[in-house]
Amino acid sequence: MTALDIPAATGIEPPGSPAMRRLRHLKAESWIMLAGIVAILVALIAFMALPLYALLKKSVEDDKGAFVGLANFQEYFTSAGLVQSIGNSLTIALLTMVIACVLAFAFAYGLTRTCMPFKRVFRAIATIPILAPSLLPAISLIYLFGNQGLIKGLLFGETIYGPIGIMIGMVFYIFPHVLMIMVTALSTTDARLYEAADALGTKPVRVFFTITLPGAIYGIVSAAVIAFTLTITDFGVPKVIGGQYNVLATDIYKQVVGQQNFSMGAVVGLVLLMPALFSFIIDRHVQKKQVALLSARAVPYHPKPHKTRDMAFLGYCTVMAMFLIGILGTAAFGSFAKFWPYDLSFSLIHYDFDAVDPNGWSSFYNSLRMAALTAVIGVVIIFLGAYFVEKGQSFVRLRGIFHMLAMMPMAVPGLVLGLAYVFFFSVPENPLSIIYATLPILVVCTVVHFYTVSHLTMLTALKQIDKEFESVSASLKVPFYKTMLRVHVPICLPAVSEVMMYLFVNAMTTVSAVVFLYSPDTKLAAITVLNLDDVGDQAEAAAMAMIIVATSFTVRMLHAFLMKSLNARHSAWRTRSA
Amino acid sequence: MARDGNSKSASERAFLEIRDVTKKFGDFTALKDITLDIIDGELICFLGPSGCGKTTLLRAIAGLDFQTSGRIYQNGRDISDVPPADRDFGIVFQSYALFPNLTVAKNIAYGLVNRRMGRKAITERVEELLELVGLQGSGSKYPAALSGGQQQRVALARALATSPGMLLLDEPLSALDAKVREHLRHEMKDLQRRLGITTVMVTHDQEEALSMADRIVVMNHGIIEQVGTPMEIYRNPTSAYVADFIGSMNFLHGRMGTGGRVQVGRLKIALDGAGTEFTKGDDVVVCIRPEDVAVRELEQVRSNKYAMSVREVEFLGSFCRAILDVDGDKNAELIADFSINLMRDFDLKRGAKLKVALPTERLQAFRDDKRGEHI
Ligand SMILES: Nc1ncnc2c1ncn2[C@@H]1O[C@H](COP(=O)(O)OP(=O)(O)O)[C@@H](O)[C@H]1O
Ligand SMILES: [Mg+2]
Repeated sequence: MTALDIPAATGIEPPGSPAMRRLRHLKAESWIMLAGIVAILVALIAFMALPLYALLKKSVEDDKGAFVGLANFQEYFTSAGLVQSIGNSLTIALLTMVIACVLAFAFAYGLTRTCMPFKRVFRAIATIPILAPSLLPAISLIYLFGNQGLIKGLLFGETIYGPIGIMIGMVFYIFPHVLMIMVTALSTTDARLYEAADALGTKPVRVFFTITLPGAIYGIVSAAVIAFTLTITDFGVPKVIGGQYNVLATDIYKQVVGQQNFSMGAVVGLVLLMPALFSFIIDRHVQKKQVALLSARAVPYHPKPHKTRDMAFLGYCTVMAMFLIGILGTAAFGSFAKFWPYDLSFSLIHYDFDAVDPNGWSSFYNSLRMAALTAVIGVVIIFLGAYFVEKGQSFVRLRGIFHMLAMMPMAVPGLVLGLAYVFFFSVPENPLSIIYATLPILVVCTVVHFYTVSHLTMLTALKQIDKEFESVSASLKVPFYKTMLRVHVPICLPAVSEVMMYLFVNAMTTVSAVVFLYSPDTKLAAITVLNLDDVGDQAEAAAMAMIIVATSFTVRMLHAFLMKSLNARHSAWRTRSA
Repeated sequence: MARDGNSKSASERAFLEIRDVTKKFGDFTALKDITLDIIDGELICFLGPSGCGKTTLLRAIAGLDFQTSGRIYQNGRDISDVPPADRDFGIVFQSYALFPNLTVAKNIAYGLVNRRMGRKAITERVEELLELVGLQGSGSKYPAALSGGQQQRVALARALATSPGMLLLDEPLSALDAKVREHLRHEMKDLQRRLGITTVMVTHDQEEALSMADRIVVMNHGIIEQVGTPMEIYRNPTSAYVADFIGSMNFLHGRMGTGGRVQVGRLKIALDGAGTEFTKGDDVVVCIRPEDVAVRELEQVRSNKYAMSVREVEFLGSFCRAILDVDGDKNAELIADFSINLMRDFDLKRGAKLKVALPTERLQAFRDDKRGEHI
């Protein structure tokens, strides 16, 4: 082009709004991104927001679908039995929260602030509960302290069927979750604070209360909130061991499955949503503050050996580890014992599930299929969603809305989500009702149920990737999806594996979200545990729970193996002399 | 082609024309009515303190973030609303943004693979580029195995691979050690001159800008303070802000008196031509660079000669920096750079008395609005 061909630079804006002009220039890749964001957004609305709305609507309708205003709520709050459950739930949740936080804090302190041996072993043992459905600790406790319990004398006449059993079972079940946050809170400290205190000759007790505790306070609050929420929304433990002691979670189940009173179920669901929502908001608030606390560059703390302290924590952690192993071991032992407690000889008869339940083994295969689908479909959607939120170039507002929606599942207890699905998908007029009572609805429900944590894991991984990759890619005229596949996906493989394992294990163990949604053909292993326990086949229930544990454990090992080989490969990207 | 920007012939159009570009982030205006021509083949530097809007302007040129209003033309084509993929540039970031999981060769070939080039042609082009940036034989390494300077060169090679019409560099050297940085300055400038590629470089390092740029755009809070060659910018800053930002400068605050003289403490400074725009009583700041304070051959200087004493001497290697004053008058303190030679000849040390002159042709005067100094 010669200079004379060129029209003068007028500097005049062409007609139309800038947004419209830019839309005309939009490349195919931008449309692809827009379509992707909209698709996931619509899916989250259809599979979370709308069902929750259906639940809300149900709570103000009678059984025939007529609007009755707040009549259901009035009925609920005048029913002494139901209101009693609120008190029970709060009592259990608060007590469990305190006990679990104290135990987990001490355990985390041992792991991070002492020089006791076997830290890695203790860490691994502490994750045992994640592998099992929450029904398992309750079953084990019945083996130990139930009517025919081996060591029920230790309760001095108290019964395990009730608050005591629920609390012990819950402590087992939530321990790893609480511990994880405590470890993080205690790991992120500044060694210089301790050196300063040392230099001033501060007494250890004072150091603990003026430095250690305040430094970990946000983590502790966060852990307490998680403990509270997990306890108040869990259904497995109180269902198995609660006896006559009613809590909100079991009330929903009784109203819906027992009495077919859907409107009342919806009301209890909304009541259960309140504490969960409340703790979610507290947690969000606290996490924001914690981020600010961590942003300062700190010198990592390395504990110095101290014989009595280290021995004391070794002792404590050993006791705690024995508790965790003991609960798991009891279920295993019970499942292999021929006839508890009279004939404890080894036998596999309780693993012949088909003898007691026609859908016994098939429910396990259903679980495998469901968990695999959840992991694969889930990780694809979650990766794309997180990628759009973190790396998307335009559509700022849309991405913001999407991120907000992605945070919501965390605040919705599984039982409430499952119930909402019933109300939304069972209506024949809803075109989406074709998935009702199928495996896909279980997959969808599970992906949504565990969306937030996976989304955040993926976001964290993506945030660590240079934010200019998209700009470089655009300047080289390579569409974003090619760079995503060639660069982001390989770099994120550890997080991808992590999320897949998380989804798989949770899909194997979850009961609450799917308990309303399965059909005889799509029954899951964890539901079978519940049913077997319900009809008194305790050994078979324990056996099926052990099968679930074994499967989760295998997947975990697979993940660990994968991480090891990924690490080997990634280190090739990092070493100085390739 | 003309490089000095001031003498553009009528038929010659700028390669890139920026007209009234404004960029807002919410209520905050990051760029305000930026108008600038960038000439074909020149290396132009956006220079200014951190946060003044350099990157924002660069990203608007690239189309990575659209301007709020204003137009941008490349070769006469209005590219204001065109996405980056339809513009014609290569870019290097401060972080280099090399793909860690791809080898050096694959990084460089990244934009080529998408152009339906044959595999052989790509290999050849990559070899050529590796040679161009002096990294022969490193193609199979991963970026992490390279030093910072080498990574920077890979990023440059990747940006140049598709032979773009324009090269954009955002603080390309600031992640490097001082030594490597100095070395790469020359290398990059040399490469740019050989390829004749129009280059926009963002930097907050005035030395870098002075040594590399054909022209410098000094920016401040979203506006352009001055555009010119390094020599123009250094010799004739048009504002106290630019004077202060580039090099060292004495700022003598005073008040305009009669006869074109400014009263600074006990000194009376004649301004000659520089003072015509002021009237008596104006607050004025008189500027002179430390190296322009004259000591030798004072007989040829007619005005602005003062007897001063040396209050402090700082040895800085190849030269000395002296603080001079008149009988301890803090209002008329003067920093002067003297060669070691001169120090010896005049036997200058603390407390010494000497005669200095402030040559009028070296003086600049600005209205004293107490802005922009000592950042
Ligand atoms: N995405 C953004 N949102 C809000 N403010 C921004 C954004 N990007 C830059 N800014 C602000 O615009 C100003 C100019 O930024 P930038 O162009 O990056 O400065 P620099 O000259 O250091 O490159 C800064 O004050 C910065 O805080
Ligand atoms: Mg910048």
